[in-house]
Amino acid sequence: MTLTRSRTAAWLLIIAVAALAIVLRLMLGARGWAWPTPDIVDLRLGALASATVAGASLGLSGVLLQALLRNPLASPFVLGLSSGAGLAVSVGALAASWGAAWVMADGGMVAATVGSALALIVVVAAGRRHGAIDPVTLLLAGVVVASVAGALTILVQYLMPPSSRGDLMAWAMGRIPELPERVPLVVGAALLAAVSWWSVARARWLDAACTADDEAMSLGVDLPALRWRLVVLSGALAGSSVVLCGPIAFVGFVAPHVARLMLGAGHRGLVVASPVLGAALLISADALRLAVPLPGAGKLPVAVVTAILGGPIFLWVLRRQGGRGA
Amino acid sequence: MSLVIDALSVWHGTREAVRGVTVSAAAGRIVAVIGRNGSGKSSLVRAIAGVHSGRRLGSVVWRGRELTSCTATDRARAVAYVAQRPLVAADFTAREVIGLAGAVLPRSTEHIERAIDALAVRELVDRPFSALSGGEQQRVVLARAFAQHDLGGLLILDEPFNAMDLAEQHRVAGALQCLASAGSLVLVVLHDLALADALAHEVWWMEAGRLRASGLRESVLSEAALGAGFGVTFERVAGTLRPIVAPRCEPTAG
Repeated sequence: MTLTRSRTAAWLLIIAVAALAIVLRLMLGARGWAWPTPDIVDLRLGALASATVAGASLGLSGVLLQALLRNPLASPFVLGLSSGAGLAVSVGALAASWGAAWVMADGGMVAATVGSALALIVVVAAGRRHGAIDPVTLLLAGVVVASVAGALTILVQYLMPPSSRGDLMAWAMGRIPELPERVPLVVGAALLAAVSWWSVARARWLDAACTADDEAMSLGVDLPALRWRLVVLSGALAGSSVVLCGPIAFVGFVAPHVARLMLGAGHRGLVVASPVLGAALLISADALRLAVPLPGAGKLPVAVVTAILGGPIFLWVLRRQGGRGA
Repeated sequence: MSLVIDALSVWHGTREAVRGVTVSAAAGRIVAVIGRNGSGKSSLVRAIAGVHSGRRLGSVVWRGRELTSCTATDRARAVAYVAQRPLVAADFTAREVIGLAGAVLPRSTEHIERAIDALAVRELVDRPFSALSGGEQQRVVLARAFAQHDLGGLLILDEPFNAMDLAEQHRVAGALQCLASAGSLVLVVLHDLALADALAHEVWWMEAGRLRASGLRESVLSEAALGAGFGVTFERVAGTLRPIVAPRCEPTAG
């Protein structure tokens, strides 16, 4: 069931939403609502590029995880991937501060990918009951992994030299950088392009993976190989977004759901629309946080905005789903 | 023989569910796989379909080709399979579920439309799969297998008549007979022995993981052998096999 009668109308709406988000973020800044002057246009474009790559990576990671686990509640944040990546990057930053600078030579991309993939493997292993993935156990395992990884991240922050602690803490709360580091941004964009291409090519396999294991295999899907690729690619995408913007909640969950409401359940549309909507969502959240006045000169961390928007939607889907899933 | 199974054994963990089954069947036949619960019927057909992911020994050769060592795609070209409990964990319409036949293999619109007509599910195709009744879902999933199946291939169905009413059973049985007439081999797990007797050319009877009997329907489905194997009295009424399953109340002493 979809919200719009035709796919063309749905795509036009998605493109319009993304364009509106871009215009909003370009016009909103610390100085208020105005078209950017030449001295700040680079900052606005930098924030836009960071939010686009991170949001699209989260959206695509979410739709791949939901296909992997046959569970619409799955997302990088809910399953602890973002927290795992955050912990790995924090440990990398600590190691770098102790002299092992090579650990973070790539901006933390490898550490984040390993951290998120390990978190996913732990969650899936703990979420199995009698050989099958149990949706409720899986979510609980995700909550536990996210909590433990979050606590260990705080511990690592205390071990950091005071001079770099503040920056790490700001990143850990979710931050869209206006001057993103070049390596994570370029590597993240390249990874996003490569995984998007792969996902479009394998979209029908993802459709078939929505059936029982034995039926998916009988349809010609090499399921074990597909699942390993989904673990690695969704982990890498989640890790890439964490390196760029820190752990950000619910974008990877909400974007595939909105895409599904607009286009239906087929993955040929979902793997394209979810990253577009993920980017639009994160750009909008960044614009919204700038628009909300706080006492003093402070601004909300972007992860607070996505959590406030995404939490109720997650509860709605959880209630509608009633624990159905894999 | 088109399908030759040699010394096939299948394990679920440490439990040996199928023990050294050797049997064969020719194309153009319907073979019913029968047996009590837990006798290894589903494990046997899953292993033949190549979808058992646990330990397995022995060989399954279809038209001269070893199925156990094929790629998933090559196997899908040869064998279409419907599981005992089909699962579709997405809000697909019935047409999208049938279209999954072409998820990996190239399937033309004609393939899909022919399958829709064969299973008479045209009035269901635009409805959400999750909103269909159990019997309708089963017919839609069968249509998917028909769309995947090329005439002359191997079609494996694990209890396909579950949740179907009599009219649906009649329609599906007719469609299976058409496929067999066109040269396909249909391997179908059945609990209903009267249906097996009416539908199948041959019967494989599984018991405790072994093949208790196999051969032509008339030779395997004798009232005496079935009575001994299933602990239920059978009789033939006007040539049709009927189990007498009503409990007998015997007066107790004292």
